[in-house]
Amino acid sequence: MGQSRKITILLIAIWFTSLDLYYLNQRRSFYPHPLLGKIFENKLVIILNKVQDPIFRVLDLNRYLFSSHPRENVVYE
Amino acid sequence: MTVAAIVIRGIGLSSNPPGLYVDEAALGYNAYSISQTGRDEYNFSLPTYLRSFGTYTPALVVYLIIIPIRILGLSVLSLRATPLIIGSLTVISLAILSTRLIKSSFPVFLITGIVTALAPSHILFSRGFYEPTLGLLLFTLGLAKRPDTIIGLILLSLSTYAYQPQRLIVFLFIACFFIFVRKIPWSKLTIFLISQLPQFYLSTQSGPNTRLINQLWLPQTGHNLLLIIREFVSQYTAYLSPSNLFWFSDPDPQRSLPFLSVFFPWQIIPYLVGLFWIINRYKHYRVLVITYLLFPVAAALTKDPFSTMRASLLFIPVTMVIVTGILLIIRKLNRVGRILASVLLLGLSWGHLYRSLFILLPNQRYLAWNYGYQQLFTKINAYSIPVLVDLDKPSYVQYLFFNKINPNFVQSLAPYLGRDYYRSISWQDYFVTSRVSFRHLDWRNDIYKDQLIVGGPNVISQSQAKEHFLKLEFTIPSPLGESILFAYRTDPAFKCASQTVKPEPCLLK
Repeated sequence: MGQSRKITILLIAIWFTSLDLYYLNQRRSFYPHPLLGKIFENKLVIILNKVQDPIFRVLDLNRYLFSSHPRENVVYE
Repeated sequence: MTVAAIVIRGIGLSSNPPGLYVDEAALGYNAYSISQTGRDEYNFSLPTYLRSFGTYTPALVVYLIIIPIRILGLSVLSLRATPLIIGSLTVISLAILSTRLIKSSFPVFLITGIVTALAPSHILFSRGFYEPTLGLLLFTLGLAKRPDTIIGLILLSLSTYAYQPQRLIVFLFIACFFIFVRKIPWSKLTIFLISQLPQFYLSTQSGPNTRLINQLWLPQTGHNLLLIIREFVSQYTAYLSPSNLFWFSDPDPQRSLPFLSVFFPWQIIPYLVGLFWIINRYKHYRVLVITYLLFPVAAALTKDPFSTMRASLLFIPVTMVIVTGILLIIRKLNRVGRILASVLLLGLSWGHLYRSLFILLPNQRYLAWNYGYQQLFTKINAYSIPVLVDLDKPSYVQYLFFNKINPNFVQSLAPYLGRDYYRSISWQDYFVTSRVSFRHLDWRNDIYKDQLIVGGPNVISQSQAKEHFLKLEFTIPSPLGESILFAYRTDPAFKCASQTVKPEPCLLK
């Protein structure tokens, strides 16, 4: 993997869009106590999700054999 | 283990999942109707498939729901008590099955119990789903009792009466078991076939087959063999794909937990370890390999991209593979490592569950679970004028459920089907009284009648309400406080007076 590609992946993982932050704050508001909100909903959780997402996509056999069919049109959460 | 399974599945059972889904209400009300009159809403005595609103759901579970409804009365709690008990029993039966399929030892029993007790999809299915949960329990019990015994075969046969996809899977499984594992005596197979006679008869009726056929992708591919093979293989591999099992959940928001799939993401590691181990020793795990390869078949024939409900049986072999992987990993760790790994992974799993099940599900998925209908149908009772309910799904059944409408009265309104009960596939909203009706709003007539019009946010816009002199009577808020259901009262006198050219309904008055 080239150096520039590694940097790109790292940047995507740690770069928070305004939508990311909006949903983060929204989810925090669901918790009965603000401390619980901070424990379960924080930037580390977003980073972990962003790191895990491409790993699991790579593990999908249908991605290579059927262009992700039958889930190509499904919008993931 | 059982206590933990019951506690996790039982906390806040009546309010989480939020609301009551239309399928749940249909099963619940028909169970209530059968418990009161011995007949369902169409006045049909003890059905095998429940016509409901044209769904023809296997009715076996309805007869189990009757018991808690008899004891606790018709309520969300009494309705959901059945899947709670079934789900908790499945935890034990899967743990017993694992000692037969993997290795007869206490650690295998314990780890399977913990993995099943904490499995996200199984927890959700033990809270609000009925047919697949019962089908899974019966199939697990049948496997645990061994498919070459009479009791095992009868349990497998019963599971076909619990959930539609098992009508196909059970036959394929018995055939594979017969060919690859052990010969089943013909005398026992005959008993199994006799127990399937009602199914054979019902298979000739259009009703029970309609839903099954409607879900197939086959009519869309036509007779192109390559297309058929491609579609089947792609659907089949999707059910075995680790990304779907551990990361991307069921696309239907009502059938999955937010940010969780069938199992926890960390379980992919023991899954892959276990899978590699089993593939290399497939002769020792013949039953497990058969179940693993066979169970996605029925689901792969249907259109939905990844339906966890239809592939609910796949839960058995995948759990076994994960447990095998955990055992292999544990073997490599010393005592301290085992304790640390257990604490860390149990804590991680519990954290995932708490976030997804107890926080995000009630706050993000309330619309998918028809939240607010209970409040709505209780509130409209306060009005003496007629009420028109314009909601997408057949919500009449939720009205019947929440208001505990007398089953004899409902049966008197329902069309008489008689011998055509299993053949009447076209369904229409029949529940219309002088008080309440369930249909789409007809702008040409309904705004000229003095009534309450109830619906979601898309039924009447603010400008339409202003234009037609509709007065907002009340709204039903979501758990987050935003209005999700609206009730408008018409003002026919004012509306007619405002028209220069009087429309027909005004002239009729």
